[in-house]
Amino acid sequence: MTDERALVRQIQNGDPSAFADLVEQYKKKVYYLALDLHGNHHDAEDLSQEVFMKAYRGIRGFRGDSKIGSWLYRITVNTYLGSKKKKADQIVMLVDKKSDNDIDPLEARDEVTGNPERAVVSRRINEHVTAALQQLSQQERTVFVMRHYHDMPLKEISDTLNVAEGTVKSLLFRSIRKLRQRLSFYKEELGLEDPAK
Amino acid sequence: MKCREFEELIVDALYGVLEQDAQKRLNAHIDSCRACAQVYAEMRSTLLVMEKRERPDPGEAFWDGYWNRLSSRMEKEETERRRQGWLGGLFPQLPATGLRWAYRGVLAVVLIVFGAVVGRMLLPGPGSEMTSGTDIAETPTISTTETPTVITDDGDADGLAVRPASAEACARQYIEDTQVLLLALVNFDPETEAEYLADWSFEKNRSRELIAQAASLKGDLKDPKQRRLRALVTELEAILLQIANLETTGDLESVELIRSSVDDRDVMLKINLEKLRAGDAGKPGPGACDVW
Repeated sequence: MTDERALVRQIQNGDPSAFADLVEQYKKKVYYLALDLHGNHHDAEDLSQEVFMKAYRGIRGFRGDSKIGSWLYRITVNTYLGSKKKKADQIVMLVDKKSDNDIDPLEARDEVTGNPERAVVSRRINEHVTAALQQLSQQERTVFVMRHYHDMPLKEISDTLNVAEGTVKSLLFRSIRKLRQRLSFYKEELGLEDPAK
Repeated sequence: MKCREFEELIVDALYGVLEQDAQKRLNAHIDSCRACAQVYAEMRSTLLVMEKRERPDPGEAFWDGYWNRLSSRMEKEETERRRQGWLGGLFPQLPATGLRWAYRGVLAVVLIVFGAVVGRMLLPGPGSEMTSGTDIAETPTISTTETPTVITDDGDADGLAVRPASAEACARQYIEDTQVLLLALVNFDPETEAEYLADWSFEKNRSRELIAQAASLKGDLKDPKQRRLRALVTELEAILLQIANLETTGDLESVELIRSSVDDRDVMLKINLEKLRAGDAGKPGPGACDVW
């Protein structure tokens, strides 16, 4: 029996410390997926906690057909797609409209601990990219972040979303083209040259 | 091959998972098609920009306190759930699902009898000022085994007459019955009921009965005004199908999916809205919809 299966069995038998171990093992992966989907820290933490609570409630039904990580990803994506906050996500906070007071304290950390110039550029890129991502539809964003930032194979994405692999590719194609439109004028400003040209 | 057909190949190529033969075909196309070559180059450059994104690390303090925050939220929600579930006292955890349903059935009968007794004591009976003026010698009895009926006052010499229940009334009955079934699943809590494996045989059988009803109902809800009702019947039918396909015991992952599905589609809200719209009008009598 693998360690993972043993851990699941322990949780299914009601061992709370085993569940704590599971959370410890997967909290970063789930949080970062939630962050990529929601685009802000507060919703990301909220979603990631919700995922673990759902996992705890449903762990007895987990039969081990997939890896526990894939199962948690599936819960994350399904919870996100069903989230009541989806309308709120449509309201995109564009960088230029932000005041200094709006800066996320987490994003400001680089400015304190590292190179301030680099931190500013990095923060701007993050803001631009996050804003562009938030303008995708929920499905497009989900497919894009799963493939691009979490390196999930297309097959796994199609299984998670319960859609055909061809649909996943179409969504990816569409999302990248939309991102291109959103970022086209930022690109030059940021001095990111396209090596293909 | 048309340009559009190269879209999937472009996506695979961008992520480096394109097989050699397909890559050669794509390269050949890109060499001869300026538009596709541009699209490909633009998409590559877009991904390079997206790569520049650095996700902020919330910091050690955040990660160190993650479990504490999660566990206190779980405890808080559990406490809240218990506090809100004042009816829970009436539904103690019984060792088997069958027994629990039997207990609930008995409880329902007791409540109905109690309601009837209180009703008889408080409300005026037949022959009082509230009746239509025609003396009714006896309260009519309605057979549940005969033709489906609704009780209507149509001025018949006997005071009361019967007619078949409408499809709309039966659809509402179907919705109400489905709601009861869904509530049992939605309120199922594996945390507290985990030691007894969930037994879904009752829910599965009832779902199959309701699915059979839905098939007839959809055929009868043809009026454009009934489109919304028909849509709800169809939506519920899809969920009932999921329930009917549950394994007889356990299968908590599927139960969780059904719960999410009910939640995500705001099914309970739609049911309640439909009930509000209908009010008490058009409710069929007991057994009136057996044919649907």
